[in-house]
Amino acid sequence: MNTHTLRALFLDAIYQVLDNRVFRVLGVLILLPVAVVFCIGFREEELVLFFGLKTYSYDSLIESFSLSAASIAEARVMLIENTADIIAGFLSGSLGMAVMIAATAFFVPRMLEKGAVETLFHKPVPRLWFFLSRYVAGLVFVALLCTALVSGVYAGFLVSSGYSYGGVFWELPGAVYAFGIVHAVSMAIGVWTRSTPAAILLSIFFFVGNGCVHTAWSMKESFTHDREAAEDSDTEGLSQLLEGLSVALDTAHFILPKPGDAGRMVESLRGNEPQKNRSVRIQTNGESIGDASHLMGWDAAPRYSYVVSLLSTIAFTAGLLFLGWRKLARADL
Amino acid sequence: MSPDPIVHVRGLTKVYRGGRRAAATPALDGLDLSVTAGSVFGLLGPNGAGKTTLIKVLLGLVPRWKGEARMFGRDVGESAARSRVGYLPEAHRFPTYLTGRQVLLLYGMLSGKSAGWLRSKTDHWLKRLNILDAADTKVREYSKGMQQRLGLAQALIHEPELVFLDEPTDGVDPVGRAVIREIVEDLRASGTTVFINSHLLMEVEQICDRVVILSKGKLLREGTVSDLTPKTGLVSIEADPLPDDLEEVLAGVGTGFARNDRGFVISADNEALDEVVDRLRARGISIRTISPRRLTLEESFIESITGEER
Repeated sequence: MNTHTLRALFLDAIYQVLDNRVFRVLGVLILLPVAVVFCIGFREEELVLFFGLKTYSYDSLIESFSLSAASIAEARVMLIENTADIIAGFLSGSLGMAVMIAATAFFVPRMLEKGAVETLFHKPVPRLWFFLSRYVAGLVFVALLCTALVSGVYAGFLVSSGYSYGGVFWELPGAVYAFGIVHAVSMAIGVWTRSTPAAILLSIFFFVGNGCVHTAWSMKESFTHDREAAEDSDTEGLSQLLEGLSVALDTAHFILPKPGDAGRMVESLRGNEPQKNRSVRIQTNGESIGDASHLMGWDAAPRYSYVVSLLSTIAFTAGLLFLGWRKLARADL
Repeated sequence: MSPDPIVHVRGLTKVYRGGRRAAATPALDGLDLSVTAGSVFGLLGPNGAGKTTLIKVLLGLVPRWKGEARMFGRDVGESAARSRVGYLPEAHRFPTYLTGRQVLLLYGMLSGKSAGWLRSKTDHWLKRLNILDAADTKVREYSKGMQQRLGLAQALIHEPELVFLDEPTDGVDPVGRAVIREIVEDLRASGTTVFINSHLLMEVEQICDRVVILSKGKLLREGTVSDLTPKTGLVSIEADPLPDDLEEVLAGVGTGFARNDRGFVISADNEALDEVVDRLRARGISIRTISPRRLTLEESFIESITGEER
């Protein structure tokens, strides 16, 4: 291994991404929301659409969207930042993730196809490096798309609204972090099955299932917390089955990676409170059962700590990559 | 003192584990082989003889084997040994997102060469293999023959000392085959050791100095092409005109007379052959060619394999 080898692996990752048709399509699709941003002008006095074609007063918007802003200036900033975050957060959302998985899941199975694998793996490069280069290629794929989207949104609001919202760039690490987890799943499945459809389907299945586990855990925690706060002793009446389910949910939550925490951690690093308006809230029996995001923080108890979330996620992701590499290292090619 | 072998294999055994119900298959069964530098080797054997497995063990593509396997005096697991090797796998595939030029650059860099050094070599190989015009075209647009040529360029661009070519002329037109033979000749002249695994035995006979025949994972025969294609004792003679009573003219000389379109084949030693020539000339028959018949490599190969099976 020398610098030439590392450079070759990096170039290969770049070429693989740039030639990807889905990448190109997404690149074009990204231009659409960016173009929309350029057409929305959140001016000091009013909202201007399509460079003056239509105008709206902030008073009517505050009324329509029930915004809890103290002033028009605050409402304007809130609208800009929320709009920017929603658009830029698309890639780290469920649909964005599904598209990314579909676009990158073939990286490993194609590398391991008969004829391709011998040509590559006879080189004096450890298999681990080939494996990791595919992982990096996936991250580069997402990072480039995210950078284009976020930069476009930033530039759009700067030009059309005269507002510099640097905070939107925080969506970038959040999206890469979340994708890094799912991509590791897709890579490991790719090595084990050597099948692109299997990698796509099982990764999406994992992503959805994983999300369900964490949402259920979050609701359970919020419910338990609210009951404890109300000093309600009814919880003693929980059946053994529910207690068993609770333990199982806790175990699954702490073992599985938590891509959903990426957004909250990023918000926290930016110094913002968790955005409850974007969280899941369910009404049961007239009571509100929310998620546990408001309990979480860097300094929170281990159960709700971002540090624990980060470490358990890294451990799970690294574990998956290790399993994938181990399978690859021991494979007859 | 003989030079150190470039490839040294002793007691090499590789067993592929079958599925849950399939039995384990020994692909290599205690193989012993030692190869000195600077020759062109033909690696022959029937399907499943262990040829590809041997190459894959040497190139680190197959783990979990038993025995000893060394290249350039180093264990085959060491990457330093593999950086001096070029390999053209059978039915190889390059990433379709790369152009021909990018393939040579990236695969050369993976062998440890610098981009600058490789750029100075790329056009030479692309031109030599007649794919320079397609240098900046994506590999997905290459024909099979072009991909094969590119594969050969990839195997050679980093100037390896040992080259494994698995079916190198597969899908290549006759002109391309001639070019590949020419390149192998040049490699031989430059002291590069070449292993050729091919089912085209005539081609192997034309190109190779030495031949190794594997069967059931073991070394069956090894030697020069002449060793493996011995004289049969038959002599083929072309003559003109061929009289109808030719058999009578040659009565009592040699054995196993067989007439063909241009002449005849006869089993004769040197003394008998002189007598044949004298009798033909005495009848005013013009002798065009006299050639002792050797076993072809194909005949020798089939004989070896069937003999072993018996």
